[in-house]
Amino acid sequence: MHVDMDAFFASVEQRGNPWLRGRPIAVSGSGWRSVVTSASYQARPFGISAGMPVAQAMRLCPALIRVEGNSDKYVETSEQVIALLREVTPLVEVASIDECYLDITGSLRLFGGAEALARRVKARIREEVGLACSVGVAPNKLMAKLASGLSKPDGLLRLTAEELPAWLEHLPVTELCGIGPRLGAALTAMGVRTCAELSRVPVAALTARFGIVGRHLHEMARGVDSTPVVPTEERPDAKSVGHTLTLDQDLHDREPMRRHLFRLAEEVARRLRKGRYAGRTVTVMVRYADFVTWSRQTTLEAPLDEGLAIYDAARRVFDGLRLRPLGVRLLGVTVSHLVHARDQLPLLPSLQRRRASVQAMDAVNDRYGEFTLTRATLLQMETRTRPISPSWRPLA
Amino acid sequence: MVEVIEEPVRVAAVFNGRHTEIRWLQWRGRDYRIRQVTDHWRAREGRALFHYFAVTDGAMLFELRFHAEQLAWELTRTYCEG
Ligand SMILES: [Mg+2]
Repeated sequence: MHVDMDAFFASVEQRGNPWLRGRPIAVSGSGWRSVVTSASYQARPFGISAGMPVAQAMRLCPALIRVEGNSDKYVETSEQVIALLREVTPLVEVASIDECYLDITGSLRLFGGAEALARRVKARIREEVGLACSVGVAPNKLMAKLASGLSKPDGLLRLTAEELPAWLEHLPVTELCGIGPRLGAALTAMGVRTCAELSRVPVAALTARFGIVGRHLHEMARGVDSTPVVPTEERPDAKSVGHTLTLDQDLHDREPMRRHLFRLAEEVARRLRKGRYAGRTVTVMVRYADFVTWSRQTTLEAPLDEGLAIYDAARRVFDGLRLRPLGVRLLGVTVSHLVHARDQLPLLPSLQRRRASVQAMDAVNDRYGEFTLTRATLLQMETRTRPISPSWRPLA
Repeated sequence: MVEVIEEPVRVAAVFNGRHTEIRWLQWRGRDYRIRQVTDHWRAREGRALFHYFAVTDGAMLFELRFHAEQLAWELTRTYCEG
């Protein structure tokens, strides 16, 4: 079963503000250069969707009401939804802030079947959280997600194994989760538009063109997916820790961009240390005003968990980039290849001192909020624009 | 329009388990009778815990922030039509 909250951020804002209900609204980051992260259903007929620059959305719908997003609200609401889902099964995989997969096989008897269970989940979320969601029930995750998407908004759709071939017959391949516009275009070039057409392409032809993805595509076209629902607590350790920052204005000069990188590095380092991680690979992401995104990385010999060291690596990568003349609108720093940091103190006394001062800084930051005490470089920066975690945005 | 206020306010609230009722608030010398709490969420800033409430008197929406440790109320933002 796949549960997907409808227009999640926008619906949370409409729930909390009676004057926004029934109106076209767009939730976005602060500043006019930011991007729509969620559009209410009333905004969608104007062609407004997530990922669109706010300025463009305003042109499409001058009556659009902009609401600055508030991640605390969404995280809390998401936690409430997840808690309700866990009432019907412990097997809940949190796919993103507004989407979960549930393995309800073991709960069907107790709740009187799949549809009764799905209706109960929808009713509970409506009563307790005050929001609408769409629910898809199917033999596997891929088809459940397809079903919830087809039933939007506020829908419930059950696809049985017998019905799948009929549903897939005319379904465009791009409706399947995992087949994006690029892959879709590549398939169109092969004369493949629908799932049925894809399923008739020999596996050999698909693997010749797409490598191992080819076999997977063949299975997807037939509605086959064997990936299990992995309850979120049991997920393997984090693979990377990263932060991005959408800039209020497009930047052209390297110096202010370096300062943003520094702050992102500090934030990533803090989160690494909180999880007792350190990582060897530092990736810098640069997104230009036209949304073209570049990332470059460097891998170091020893794992890092300190902001200054991560910044040093990020700056070397950044300085090696030839920036395009277009302005930069988003920067990101990610540390990956994580290992669990050992608690033992470094042997060199100078390093030991530096580590002690870093720990003291974390303690003060914990007490007074992020970015209250940090290195002098940051003082030049406006502290109101906080990094937005990637988990903020609805995932594709 | 959203207006950022960030001023201390006097608030009458009934803390009743999960549901907090807000009765009235006093701001800039005026009393506002609160009809409905439309939203509630929590936020941590460092170790401090804040409860946020969105409340309305029927004409305006107020965003209130309650600092749980200091028992202090602040009017963070207002929203009204137009
Ligand atoms: Mg959604």
